[in-house]
Amino acid sequence: TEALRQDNKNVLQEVYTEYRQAFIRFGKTYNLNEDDILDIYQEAIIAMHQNFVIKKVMLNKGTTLKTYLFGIGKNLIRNQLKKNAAKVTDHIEAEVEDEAYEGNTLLKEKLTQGFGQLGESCREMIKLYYYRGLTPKEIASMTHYKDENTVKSLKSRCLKKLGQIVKTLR
Amino acid sequence: MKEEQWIQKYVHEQLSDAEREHFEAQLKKDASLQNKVRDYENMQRAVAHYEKGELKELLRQTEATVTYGNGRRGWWKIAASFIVLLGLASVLWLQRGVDNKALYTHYFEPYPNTLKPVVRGAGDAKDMAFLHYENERFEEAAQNFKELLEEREDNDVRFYYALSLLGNHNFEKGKIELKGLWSSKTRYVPQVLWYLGLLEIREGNNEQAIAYLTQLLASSSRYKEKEAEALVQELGG
Repeated sequence: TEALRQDNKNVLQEVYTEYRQAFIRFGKTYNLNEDDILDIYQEAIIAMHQNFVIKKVMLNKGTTLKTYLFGIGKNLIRNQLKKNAAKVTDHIEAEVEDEAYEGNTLLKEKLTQGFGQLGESCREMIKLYYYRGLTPKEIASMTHYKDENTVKSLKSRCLKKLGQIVKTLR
Repeated sequence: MKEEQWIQKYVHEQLSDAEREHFEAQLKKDASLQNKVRDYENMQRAVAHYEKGELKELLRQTEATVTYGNGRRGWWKIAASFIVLLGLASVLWLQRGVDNKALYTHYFEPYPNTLKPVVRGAGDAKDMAFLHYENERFEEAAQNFKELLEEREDNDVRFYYALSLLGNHNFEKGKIELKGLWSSKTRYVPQVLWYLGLLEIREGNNEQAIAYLTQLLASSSRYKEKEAEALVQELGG
C-alpha cells in the first residue's frame, strides 16, 4: 500500500489484475453483467488509489487491500442497483468525491481544463504539491530541482501561468 | 509549522486529532484562512479530476491486455492484432531509414529552466544566460553559459550549455557535452539519457538509442517515461 500512496501506477496495474477475476465473481452474485461489473471495478480501483494518494489512507489491522477494495466496490454496486431500480442518475451517495466535484462552479471546471493545458513540468509540480500533498522540501529531495526555494518559486510561476490560462478559457 | 503546511496537512488529513481541532478553531474565526483552504481544495479536486481521466485510460489499457491474454472479448483480439501490425509497420518504416531526423524534431524540446527561475529585474550573468535560453536565443545562451563555465565549472550549468548547443543545431558538440555529463554527477541524469537517446535516433543509431532509453526507463525517475516506452517500442526494442 505504500507504493500506492506514492502514486505508483505499475503496482496499481498489478492490483487491478490480481483481484479482477474475484471481483467479477463477486459482482455476478448481484446479477450484474460482466461489462457493468468491470466498469464498477475500474471505478473502485480509481477511488481506492486516489484515497491512498490524497488521504494517505492507512489500513486498519486485519483489513487487507482486497477487503478495502471490495468494500468500495460493494458500495458502488449498491448504487448501481439503486440507479437501475429507480432510473435516477444523480444524487447517488457512493460517488462522493465526484459529486463534490460535479456540484462545482465553472471555475473548478476551468481549473481542470487549464491544468491539462500546462506544460509537463508545471503539471508535475502542481500534482506533487496539491494532489500528493508533498512539501516543497520533499519535492526538492525527490526531483532534480535544486532546493526548496526553487520548488516554491516554480510552483508560484506555474500557478501564475495556470491563472493566465484560466482567464483565456470561456 | 508554517500556515501553508497546516493547510496542506489539514486537507490531506495528516493532522493529529488535537492539531485538527486547533486548526478548525482557527479556521472558524479567520476568513482569509478559509479562502486559502478553499483554494487548496479546489486545486486538489481539479488535479484529482484530471488524474481520474488518466487513470481510466491506464485501466482501459490494462483491461485490454488482460482480456487479450485471457482470450476473452474477441474484438480486442482484432484490435490488438491491428496494434501489432501498426507497430511492425513503424519498425519497417524506421528500418528503411526514413526520416529519423523527423522523429528527433518531433520529440525534441528544450528542457525547461528548473535551475534558476529568471526574476524580472535581476541581472547577473547566469540570469542573462537563462533569459536567452528561455527566449530560445540559443546562440547567445550557449555563449553565455560557456563564459560562466570558464569562470567556474558547474555540471548543472553545463547541462543547459549542452541544451543550448542542441537548440542551436550544434548536435555534435552538444552530444560530446552530454556524454561528459552522463558519467559525472548531475541531477539531470535522466534528462541526459533522454537527449542522448534522441541524438542517436537523429543519427539513425537505433540500437544505441534503445540502450539509452532503456537505461532511462530502468532509472527510478519517471521522466519522459511514456515517450521513452513508445520510442523503444517503435524502434523495435
